[in-house]
Amino acid sequence: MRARAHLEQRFRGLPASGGIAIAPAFVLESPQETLASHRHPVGSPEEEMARFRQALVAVKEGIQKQYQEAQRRVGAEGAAIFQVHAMFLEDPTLLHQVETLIREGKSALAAWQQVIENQVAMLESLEDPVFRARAVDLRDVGAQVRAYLQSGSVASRPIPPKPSILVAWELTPSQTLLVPQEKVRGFCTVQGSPTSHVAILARGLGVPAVVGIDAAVLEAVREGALLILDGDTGEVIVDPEEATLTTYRRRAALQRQTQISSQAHAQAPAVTRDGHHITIGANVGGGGRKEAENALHLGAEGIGLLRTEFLYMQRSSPPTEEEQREVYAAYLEVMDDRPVIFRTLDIGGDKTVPYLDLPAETNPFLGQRGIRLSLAYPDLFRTQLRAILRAGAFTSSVHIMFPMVTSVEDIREAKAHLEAVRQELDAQGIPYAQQVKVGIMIEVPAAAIMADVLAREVDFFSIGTNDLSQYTLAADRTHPVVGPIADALHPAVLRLIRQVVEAGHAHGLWVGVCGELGGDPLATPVLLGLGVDELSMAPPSIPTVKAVVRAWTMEEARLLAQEVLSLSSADEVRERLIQARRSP
Amino acid sequence: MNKDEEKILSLVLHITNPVGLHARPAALFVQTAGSFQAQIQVRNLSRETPFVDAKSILGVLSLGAAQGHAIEIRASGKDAAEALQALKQLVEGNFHESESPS
Repeated sequence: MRARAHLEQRFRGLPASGGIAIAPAFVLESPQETLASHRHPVGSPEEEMARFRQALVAVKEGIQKQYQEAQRRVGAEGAAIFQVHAMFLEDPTLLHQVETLIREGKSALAAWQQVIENQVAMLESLEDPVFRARAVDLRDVGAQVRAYLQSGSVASRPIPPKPSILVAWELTPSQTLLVPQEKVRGFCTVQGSPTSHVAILARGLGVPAVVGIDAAVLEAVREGALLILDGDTGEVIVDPEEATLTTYRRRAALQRQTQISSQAHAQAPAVTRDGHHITIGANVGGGGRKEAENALHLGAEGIGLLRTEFLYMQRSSPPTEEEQREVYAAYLEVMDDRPVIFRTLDIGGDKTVPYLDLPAETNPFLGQRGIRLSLAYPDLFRTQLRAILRAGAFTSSVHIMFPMVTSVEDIREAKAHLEAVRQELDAQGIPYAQQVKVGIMIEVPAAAIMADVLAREVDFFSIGTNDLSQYTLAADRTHPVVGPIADALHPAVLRLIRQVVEAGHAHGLWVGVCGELGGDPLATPVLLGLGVDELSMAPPSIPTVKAVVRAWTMEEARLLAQEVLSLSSADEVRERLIQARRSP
Repeated sequence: MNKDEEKILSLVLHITNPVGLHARPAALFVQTAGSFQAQIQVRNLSRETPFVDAKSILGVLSLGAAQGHAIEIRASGKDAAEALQALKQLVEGNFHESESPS
């Protein structure tokens, strides 16, 4: 038996694109590397200016090709970033600054370097992470021009000998294109977020990606070392042992099989091995009839969350009652008699609309949003309630749910408006839904803790795990540094879920989960075991979640839930759940 | 001195598309501005930034104009009115964007 040359090492990052890849590593150089000591004598300002202009033309041509290549690979939306790159090179401010420095006697290279560093610093100082991310793009373009000025040619194209997983500190958009598509099996970077360009490209290509990985991985990976990349869990394994390889190969094969078979079984209900049925709903909003039809096609038994914000955004005046009624009615019609849960307007905070003239808040997540906003604008609120009630006039499937509820007062005030609207409609002789069930989103910790008190006021709870995790763990999930702390698998959040389920059941309510956790197949057995009655998720997740439910018995799920609730961190929970995974 | 060319026209618009004025929308904005002769400047009223050249992609990106922000565009020169009109249509037409992933 051969001695192993290298030991297996495991790392964990953020999952950015799902799937499993098993392939050799191909390490890409970062554009950040320092300038070579290569220097050439600085020419006259005219010579340097000519050099600079030449570099711009050459790099612009290169970017044009990158744009076309990207369009071919991922379509217009994903390729759009290269348009921005090209525009950097046409930016009058940028060009003017470089030309001024050249006229003062600096070389094209030095002038370019200085201006780019200033502009990158400016972009990196912006608060919004989306804008801050453009600094990567500017560095990318900056590096391409620099490379041309140094070597007289555009960056060379490294070609891996066989299909590989690209590993790098950071992958700029142009770098992701350097390697021919058919040679890419996945991406792994230290920088980046699940919403960055690498993630978008990976999803477009249908290959896994893991970002935010420990920088130590770069030391551990030799060129050509075998890697296992798990884009669903964020795991990266370097130099896997035989046993590990076998496990993952099997898992990858099963994943492919599952995708095919779960599509086929999507229509059947989600029933555990011992006969317990859990309702599976869809989270929708904005796609109209087609969206609802697609949800049904993927196996939804109802709409667990109908987001209504889309009706209010991207316009200069609020939607009329009739406009709303028509849209709501379309969803109800497609869903037939299946339950449809309308969430009343959930804006405010970071989601604003121009016609309400909302003042800027220093702390939007802790501000006037959700039900608080609706109660402050009763006309707006009542119009929506009227529209929902009227849309459901001849059905029994209407459910109404209020977001961001903190207290009993919120519920009573909202229900008072609902009652007032019923009386209005009665007086006007307009038909409306009669058996409406009223519930609330549990997303504020106070609501979870006081669930037993709130349970007396409503018919159901739906847990919004995204916001619940953020508030409970006091972290903004979009924050580049602390984002990972707001992990819904943290035992603190799971314990709150248990508390909410117990309180709800004690008062005869059903309890659902409509946050992202509801659609995470890894969490499904825990939520089953905690007694959750309904899981509502983005339609594409439905087949897989149903398949997971079918692989467990309630007793097994309860034991697992009990176990993870006693663990001490989200990472521990995730480890345990990965171990416990059943290949459905 | 032609009086028309001296006049400064301005306009306030609200950004309603979910991703704000970055990447593709910013590129469209700058391209549109660049197709006119007028001098065009833009600032982010909600963040109280100074005016930047609307034909500069870096300038426009530096505004950090997110959804819900109000921007002020001012233009002067021969085709200032047409420029403002074109930018108004672009912003209010939501930059021809489809719904972005949440």
